[in-house]
Amino acid sequence: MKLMNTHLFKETAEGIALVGQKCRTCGKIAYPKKRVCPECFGEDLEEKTLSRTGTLHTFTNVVLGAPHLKPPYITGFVDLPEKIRVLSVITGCDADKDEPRVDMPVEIVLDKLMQDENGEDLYCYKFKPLRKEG
Amino acid sequence: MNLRDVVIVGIGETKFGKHMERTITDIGAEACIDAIKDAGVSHKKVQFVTGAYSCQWNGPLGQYFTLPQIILREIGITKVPMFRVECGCATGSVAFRDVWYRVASGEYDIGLAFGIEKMNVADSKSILGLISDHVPERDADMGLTGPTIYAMMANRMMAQYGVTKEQLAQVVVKNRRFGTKNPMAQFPIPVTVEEVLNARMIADPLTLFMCCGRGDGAAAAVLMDAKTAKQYTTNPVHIAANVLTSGTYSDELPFVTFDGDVRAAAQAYEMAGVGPEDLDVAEIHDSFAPAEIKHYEDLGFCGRGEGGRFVEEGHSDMGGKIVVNTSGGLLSKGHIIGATGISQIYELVRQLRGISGESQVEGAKVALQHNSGGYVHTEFTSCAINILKK
Repeated sequence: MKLMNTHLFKETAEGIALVGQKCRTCGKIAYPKKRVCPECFGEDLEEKTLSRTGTLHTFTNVVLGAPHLKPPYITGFVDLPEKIRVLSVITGCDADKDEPRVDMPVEIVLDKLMQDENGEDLYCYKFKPLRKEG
Repeated sequence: MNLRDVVIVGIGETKFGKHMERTITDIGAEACIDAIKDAGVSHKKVQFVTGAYSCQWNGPLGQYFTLPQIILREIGITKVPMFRVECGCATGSVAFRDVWYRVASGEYDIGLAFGIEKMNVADSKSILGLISDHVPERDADMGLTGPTIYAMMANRMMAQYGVTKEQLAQVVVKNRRFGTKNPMAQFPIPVTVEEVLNARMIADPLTLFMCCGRGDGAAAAVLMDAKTAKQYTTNPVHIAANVLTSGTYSDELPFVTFDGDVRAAAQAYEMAGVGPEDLDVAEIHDSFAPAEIKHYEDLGFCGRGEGGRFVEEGHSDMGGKIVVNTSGGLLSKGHIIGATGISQIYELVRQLRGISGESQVEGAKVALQHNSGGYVHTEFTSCAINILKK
């Protein structure tokens, strides 16, 4: 499996998760990782694995969009509990369940995003509806 | 620092549209000649020039190295300092700000600002790589395009404030109606709410007519300190406030506002000593229909969450509280990236001179120009605002 944008996420025991940073000086969490803390300019930083679930702040169903994505596709902002907002493709929505909708719970998933110049599938993070069991 | 009173003495603009047969140099020369003639000043009196172009679409064809010098050589302006600026969609306003500041500070007395773009030349697919390559989050990979930004905003506005698709369409109907009166507009064709809602879907809920087009064109302005200007005009337009800021990029604000616009507006009103209630007319950055509704709120034209009703009740139309985008806006003219900011000023100077013809706002005395530029992570990277007074 060929991954893309691997500076943004990593494997964990629960599945993939986005990776940011936490400043040991002021506590600010930022994403993606940066050279300094954008709040206090501190350089004493630690890696911070972000929550795998959040809420869909907003979205759009794109008919004419980026040429590397097969239309229609859904793009949206996901709000994570660490107060990080992430742009992501949203997958696995069921219109019969009124998905997607503003403020619905979502979870991160590893999925095919696009193909490279040789036609090989590239995998990246996406978010999908978080459904209660049953 | 004590800033001098700076006035706009000359304005020029080309028709916005497809100029396939013309060079960017020729288009730029036309607008600069117009502005210099309008100012009634000898071209040899221009002491410096700042030119604005984004060239995002033209990466593969080159960046038009030293375009200001090459354009101005064609019209005999040589031997003076010249600058080029780029600030995404706010590019033109940044050239204007540069000229304003250099005159306000006393460095020069007479300056020329121009903005230009020729977007109908290159493979537009090249823009995607250019957007994504320097954005750490790689937004373009995740499907971000211009329309998707404001489509996401529209969906949040609809959920949070009850904005309707009809209200989005009403922005387009108003601006396209004004556009039919503007001979420089690229799309001077009126549309109805039904036509807007039934047009091709781009990114739900945005249809084609809710999205600005692109094109080729230029706009220019001659600025002077007020004392020097007395030799050239009895009808100057004063720059009462000029503000430029960059984004906040908040992870927490609801995606129905840009904090940079709120901050810039507060600064501009304070600098000009006016409030939104004093404005007669405004040109605001209607790149996409929901943007105009958001700007009403961020610029204080109405309360938070009231932007949809502001357009529906006609407060931004002729006869309303603040008449918005009498040029037809970007939705009628097309968004000629580098030219847009100065083109907005071109319309407002005509309004304050009282020569806007069928789109004239009776007795207009105070005007606001607002230009958003660039985008990264939840916000535009730049906001430029000018408040102009008769």
